[in-house]
Amino acid sequence: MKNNRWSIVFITSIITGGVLSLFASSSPDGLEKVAEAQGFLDKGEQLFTSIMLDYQVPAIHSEIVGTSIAGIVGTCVVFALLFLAGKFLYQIEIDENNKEF
Amino acid sequence: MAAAVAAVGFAFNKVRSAFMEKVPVLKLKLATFPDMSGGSETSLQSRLTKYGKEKIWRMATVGSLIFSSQMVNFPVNGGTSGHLLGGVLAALILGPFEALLVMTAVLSTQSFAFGDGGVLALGANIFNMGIVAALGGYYYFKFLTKGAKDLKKVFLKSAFVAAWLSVVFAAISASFEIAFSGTKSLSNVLPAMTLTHVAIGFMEGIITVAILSILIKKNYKLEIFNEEKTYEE
Repeated sequence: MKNNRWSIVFITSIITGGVLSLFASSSPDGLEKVAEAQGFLDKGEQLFTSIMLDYQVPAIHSEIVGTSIAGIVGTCVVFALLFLAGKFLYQIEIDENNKEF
Repeated sequence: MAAAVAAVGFAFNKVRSAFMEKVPVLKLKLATFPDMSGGSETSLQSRLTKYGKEKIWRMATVGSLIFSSQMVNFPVNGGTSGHLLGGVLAALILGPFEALLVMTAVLSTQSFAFGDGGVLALGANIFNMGIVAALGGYYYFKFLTKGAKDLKKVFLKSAFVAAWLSVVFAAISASFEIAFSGTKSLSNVLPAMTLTHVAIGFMEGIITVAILSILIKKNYKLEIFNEEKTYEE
């Protein structure tokens, strides 16, 4: 199956999200660092609290397991979202093609 | 004081909602985008089906790859870290509008499920990382490879430069938004943002080139090469 080639990429990203993300540097990233240095990090507003805030799962207290699960779940959510979006767009494409015949 | 905070909030929202409106328009373009490549011919029907299926898989897997690699922060210098943005990576593998869609999905997931980036800033984030970095990144690359006869020869070098440019431009556009929202003056934010992201951009370039060269070696289909072929036909 041709699709298998891209599944390897998907498996790689699951591993990245689940395992490699544990070794991520905990230093603030570029924008956060500047925001911190210039004192506007706290100015960010939170509209509502997310389900898995800061890549942690509420029911699990281990930080390592939490990050790992959050990474895997997030990766799957993005995959599902794009797969459905792709299916949807593709459906439109087919409909449009059929109309002309 | 309260009025100032309210004004900042209003400005934030206004900037953000202005950017939000740009996205649906571009998404509509995407829906008609495949038609431009002559998809309405009968003889192309079956080929299109195969192509479409493969494309869905490609979009979804590249999106998940970008999401997971955005989680992996690497240290840059003195207590700062950076992570892959993936705009140029997505644009070269998928094409510019698909890349924008992928970035939108990644950023939405981050803000809604993980509280990273924030829902209010989502519009600005999509503008910076989707339009400036991914959609723009594609055109930086196109610009860089304009005169090149053999795309494969200059491919990795140009991808590196385009990736670096995409990060720096995204940082510059973010600083303009921060300044415009009245949070901090431009003269404060712009140099700091640009300087840190010059370093982060180097890492972005290295990772982008590394992933692309692996994909090329394994003979994965990349949109950027695909397109050249359709022009020849």
